[in-house]
Parts: sequence; structure tokens; C-alpha cells
Amino acid sequence: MNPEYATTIFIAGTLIIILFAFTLVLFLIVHKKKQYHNLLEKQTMENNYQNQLLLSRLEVQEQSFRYFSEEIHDNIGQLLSIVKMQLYNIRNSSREKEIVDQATSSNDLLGKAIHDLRNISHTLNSGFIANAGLVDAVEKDLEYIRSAKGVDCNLVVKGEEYSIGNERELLVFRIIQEALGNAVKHAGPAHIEIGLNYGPGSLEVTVRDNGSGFKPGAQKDAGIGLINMQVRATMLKGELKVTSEPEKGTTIRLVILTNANNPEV
Amino acid sequence: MKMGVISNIYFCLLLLITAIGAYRFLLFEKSARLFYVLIATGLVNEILVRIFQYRQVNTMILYHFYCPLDFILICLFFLYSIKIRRRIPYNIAIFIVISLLGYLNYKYLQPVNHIASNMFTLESFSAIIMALFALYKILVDERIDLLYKYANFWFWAFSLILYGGTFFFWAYIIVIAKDDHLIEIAQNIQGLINIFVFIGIGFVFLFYPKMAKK
Repeated sequence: MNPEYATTIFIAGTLIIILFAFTLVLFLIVHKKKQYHNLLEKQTMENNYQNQLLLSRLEVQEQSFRYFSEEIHDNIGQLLSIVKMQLYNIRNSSREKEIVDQATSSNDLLGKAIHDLRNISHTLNSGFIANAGLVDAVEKDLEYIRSAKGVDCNLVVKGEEYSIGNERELLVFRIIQEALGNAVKHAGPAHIEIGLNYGPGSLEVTVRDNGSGFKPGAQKDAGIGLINMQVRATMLKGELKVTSEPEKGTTIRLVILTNANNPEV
Repeated sequence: MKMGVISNIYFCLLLLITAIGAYRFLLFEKSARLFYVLIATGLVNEILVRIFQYRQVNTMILYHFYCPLDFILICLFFLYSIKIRRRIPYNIAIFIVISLLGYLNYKYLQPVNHIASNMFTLESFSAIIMALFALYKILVDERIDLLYKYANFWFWAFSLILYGGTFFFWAYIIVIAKDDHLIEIAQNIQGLINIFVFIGIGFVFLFYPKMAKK
């Protein structure tokens, strides 16, 4: 081969491989950036879709709560009240001691059932929660748990209570309700303490139980409840933290920021 | 440009990069450390070549040791930087095969008075393939975003340029260039590529703490 021709080939070959390497580097940088942005966009869309799905689920849940509340109040509650009145009449009209005693006992039990049902109906009804306020609504729920589940519970309110807006209060209440439900259903606690700490710029909510606790991430059933609580906390732009240890109970802590001048914002 | 000038610039650059690398060495992850050892080995070889030249001793023998060592190190660098799942001890296999190739080349093809151009050509070709494979792996990996922040990406890219140039250089020397003038032209081009690549590597070493490691 002619040396001059070969040298030209050598120089051209070297230049081509350098140019190829440069082009490859440039292409990779641009391509990866584009690919990564597409991936991010896809993830954002998926997250938005998941959030929408969860929001819809919570809305459906809220509608179901309202429906059950109305049914309990207007239908079952009314029927039980009529039964109670009839039992009262039987007790008054009867002269046999045994019937009077049984009617009195049934009447008392029915009275308790009606009372519990009314509490359930109230705590399911978003309108009642809006009217009563967060503290009273929580008290009602605790009253029901004490009475129906036999769990000792108490509410500790620190600071001066203020409204954070009906919608936000409903979300906070549902988080507390979910936490209480999880505790009673899964942990079997002897005692539950709810804390509401009204600060000047924040509201701190704690639900602490002395039940069996769990290893975080190990319980699938509680996982759904936790997801619901997290979604609600996100809607409140708050921070929700769950700490638990087996045999050492569970603490759920929610902190939401409130505007000191206008807490409802 | 005279070869001596390019060679001296290259040598100074090598010294500087080795110093920067030594300064950053503790921050390097395993693959970057291997790449640094590769550079440092090049410097040691360059110093020995200069000492041999000064004492007017044949330098060819040095390349018979340096080339297999360089070959082993670049293979290990790619092995660790690509993070291939290793079921067999590749590093031992690489060491044995390359050492054996180096020895056979020295014994039967290019003995002590010849430069180990066969080994250099093989090394360059293998490095090009490994660099292209590494870059392909990046292409199919969806997790990486800002590629220019990845130190290994730059090491692979510079290896592709360096060994691409080296491959053509040795192929040219083996097959065509027989007179000194043509060899000098090839050496000049190769020297300029080396300078460009080593400046780049120097910057990667210098800014390594700001770069993504994985």
C-alpha cells in the first residue's frame, strides 16, 4: 500500500473514531436527559392518578358514612325508640314481677344501644362534626369506645381550642377515628390517650395506645388504614408519623400548620 | 510540533493528574481507584522509560511488562465500573489469560528487541469493545439522568477516545509505517490525543467530589 495513502487512512480513521466518540457522548447525554424527564413525567402522572384514586375512595367512604349515619338516625334509631316505648308500656301495664323486671332490664339495655347508635351516627355524620367541633366529636367517639369496646380512653386538650375549618376538622377527625379503629381492632389496648395540642401556628394531634404494637410494614390490614391516614394528612398538608414497637404500643402523631391570625386558612 | 515537546507536555500532565488523583484518592470508589492505578502505572512506566533512555538501555522490555499490566487494569476497571454480576472469579481469569498472552507474545512473536505492539493492539481493541459495552449499558439504564455528573461515564468516554486512537496508531505501526518520518507523524497524533484525554481525566479527578459516584 502507498505509504501516503495509508497515512491518510490512519489520520482519517483516528479522526473518525474521535468524532464518533464525541457524537456518542453528546447523544448519550441528551438522550438520557430526555429519557429521564419522560420517566419523571410518567411517574408524576402515575402518582397523580393514584392520588385521584385515593381521593375518590375517601369521598366514597365519606358518602357511605353519611348514608349509614342517616339510616341509623332516621330508620334504625326510630324503630328502636318505638320498641323502647312499647317496652316501657309493657312494664307499666304488667303486674307480673318477672315481666316487669325483664322489661326494665331490656329497656335499660335498649337505652344503652340507642345511645351507642346515636354516638356512632353522630361520628359518621360530617354535618354533626362540623357543628359540634373537633373536641366534642372526639369525645363522642371516645364515649362510644368506652361503652361498646370497654377500652379506657381519655382526651387531653392543651391550649385554647380554635376552629381550623370544617373540612380540615373533618379530615383530622377521620384520622383520629381511623387510628382509634386500628388500635381497638388490631392492638387490643387497655388504654388509649388522645392529645390535641392547639399551638399558635400549629395543631398537634397524638393518638397513643398501650396495645400490642407492630413491626412497621409488617401488618397488611393496618397498612390500608395507614395509607388512608397518610392521604388525609397530605390533603391537610400535614406531617403524619407512626411509631410502634411490638408489645410497646403505637403512637400516631399528626402536625398541621395553622395560620395564627386565621386558623381556618 | 516536535515529538519531544508533545512527549514532555504529556509527561508533565501525567505527573499533575497523578498528583490530583492522589489528593482525591480516598474519595474514589473502587472502579475510580482502579482507573487511578492505571494512570499511575502509566506514569511509573514513563519514568522508567526516561531513565532507561538516559542510561541508553533498550526500553522495549519495559513495554512487555507494562502492556499486560495496563491491559489487566483496564479490564478490571471495566469489570468493576459496569458492575457485572460475578459468578466466577473473573479477575483471576483476566490476570491469568492476559499474563499468558503477554508471555507468549514475548516468547514467540515479539521478543525483547521488539515493542509489544501486538499486545497494545489487542488491549486497545478490547478496551474499545468494553467502553462501547459500558456506554450501551448506560443507554438501556433508565435510572440515570444527568450523565455528565457521572465520573465513570467520563472514564468510559475518555477510554474510548484514548484506546480508539491507540488502536489506529498500533495498527498503522504494525501494518504500514516502516520509516521514521511516518512513525513520527503517527506519534504526534497519538500524543495530541493523549494530551486531550489526560486533561479531561484531570478535570474528572479534580471535580470528583461533586460528581455522582454510582
